[in-house]
Amino acid sequence: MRNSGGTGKIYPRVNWVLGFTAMLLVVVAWVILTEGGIVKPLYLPGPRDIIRAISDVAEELPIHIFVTLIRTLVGYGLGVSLGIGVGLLMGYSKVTKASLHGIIEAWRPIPPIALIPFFLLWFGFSFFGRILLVTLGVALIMVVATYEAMQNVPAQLSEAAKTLGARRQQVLWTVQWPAIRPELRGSLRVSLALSISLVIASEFLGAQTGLGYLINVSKVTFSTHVILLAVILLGIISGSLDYLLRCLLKRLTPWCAISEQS
Amino acid sequence: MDFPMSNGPLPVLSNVNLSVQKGEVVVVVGPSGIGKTTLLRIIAGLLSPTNGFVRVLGKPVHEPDSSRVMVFQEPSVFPWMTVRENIKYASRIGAASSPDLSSGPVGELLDLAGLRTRLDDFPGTLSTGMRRLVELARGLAAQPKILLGDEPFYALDVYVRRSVREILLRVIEHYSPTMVLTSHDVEEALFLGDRLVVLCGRPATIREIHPVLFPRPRSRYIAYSGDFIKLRRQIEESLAPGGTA
Repeated sequence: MRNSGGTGKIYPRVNWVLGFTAMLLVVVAWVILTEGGIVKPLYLPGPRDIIRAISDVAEELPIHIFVTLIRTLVGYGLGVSLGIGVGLLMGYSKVTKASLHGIIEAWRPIPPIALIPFFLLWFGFSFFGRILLVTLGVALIMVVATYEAMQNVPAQLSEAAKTLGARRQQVLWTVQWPAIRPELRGSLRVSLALSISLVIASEFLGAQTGLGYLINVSKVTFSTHVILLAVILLGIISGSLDYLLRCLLKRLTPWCAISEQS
Repeated sequence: MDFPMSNGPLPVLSNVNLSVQKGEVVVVVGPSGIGKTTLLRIIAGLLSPTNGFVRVLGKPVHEPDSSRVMVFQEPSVFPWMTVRENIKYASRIGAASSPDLSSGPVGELLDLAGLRTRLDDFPGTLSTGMRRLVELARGLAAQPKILLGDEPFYALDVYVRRSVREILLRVIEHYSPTMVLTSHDVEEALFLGDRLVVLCGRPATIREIHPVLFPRPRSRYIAYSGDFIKLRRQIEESLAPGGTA
């Protein structure tokens, strides 16, 4: 039975109003606190300080945004591809699983940020080193998520495909891969947020461009209005990328949108 | 057939000798957990017997292939494919020729089930009974030598179950596919089958084989005939705990 759309039309509107109201309240509180003189601009810059920050760094701002965005997208894309690829291989081949499981489990609890000094030693301040850090951080999450999702695929789906004549590789590509896609959605979104954090952390050390670099140099001069501008921009970038990712995931799992509606 | 357990192998099936003729519908009945599913999985090639063999058209069975398609007790329709893509799965992977959706057993099943207008919908938009019929259509579309159905009406409510059963019965009567089904419902088995195999004991063995001679086409009203009631009672008594054959 198709959803008539009755409840579907009301609830998203209510959700949107609630979300917008909550955000508006935060902005109003910020304006009152800063423009009302309750909090000093050094501790929390106000809207006028942000406008001033934009004019202060107007010339270099686009390049910082662009570099951070590129580092995030390249690192995330490589990390997702590597993580899903290795996870699928581990789920497909017992030999690969036996070989890699121990290494991944030992590596997984280590925060990637803790490895930044080593990455600086090995790769210097290069683009490659920063990308590798993001790639590894994202890949570790995606390997585990993919492997676990493969373990949760109902056995009868693969067995049905086998009795319909599918070979092992066909079962992997036509059954297991599509079956795990909905389960990967959460991990893909978490990894995206992590990749932005890792890029910013890596830009704190030795970078000459990027929003992380901008935050770091502004810290030295107590330019908190520039720091807050960079933070707001990071929030906008992060939110926009997450929105685009959700649109992409919706396209990759169209059957889930239908079951979620009904 | 033995299952490995922590305290040694557990024998599940023993001395099961069964041959199925082309175009015949054999229904295996027996209590839950007796080994009906294990028997079908062995025929499908999903399990290997510890002793003995399965042959289809003289060829020994070693692994699953599209000559023995199985419809499972648990839902196995692919939710990410449309109804059409599900039905064409075997041909899409090169295991069967492209099925005729306009006529033949698949076409008739689509018409009887009202699925023809839902071919481009995802299974998530269908009722449980319709999804079960998609699985049956997908199995028939692979043009198997033998279609295996493990409790094909499992988890359907009584009205849907009757309707799905009627649709399958019409397809069986018009196209005579070779089928081995399992059921714990004797009435259902008598409606559909040409032969009933009663599986009992531990390890399970074939206790009785009953030819079902009710003429086809069969209607639900044969359930009220004296012969039907008598045969049904006889089989149910032999299935009861401590029943004698």
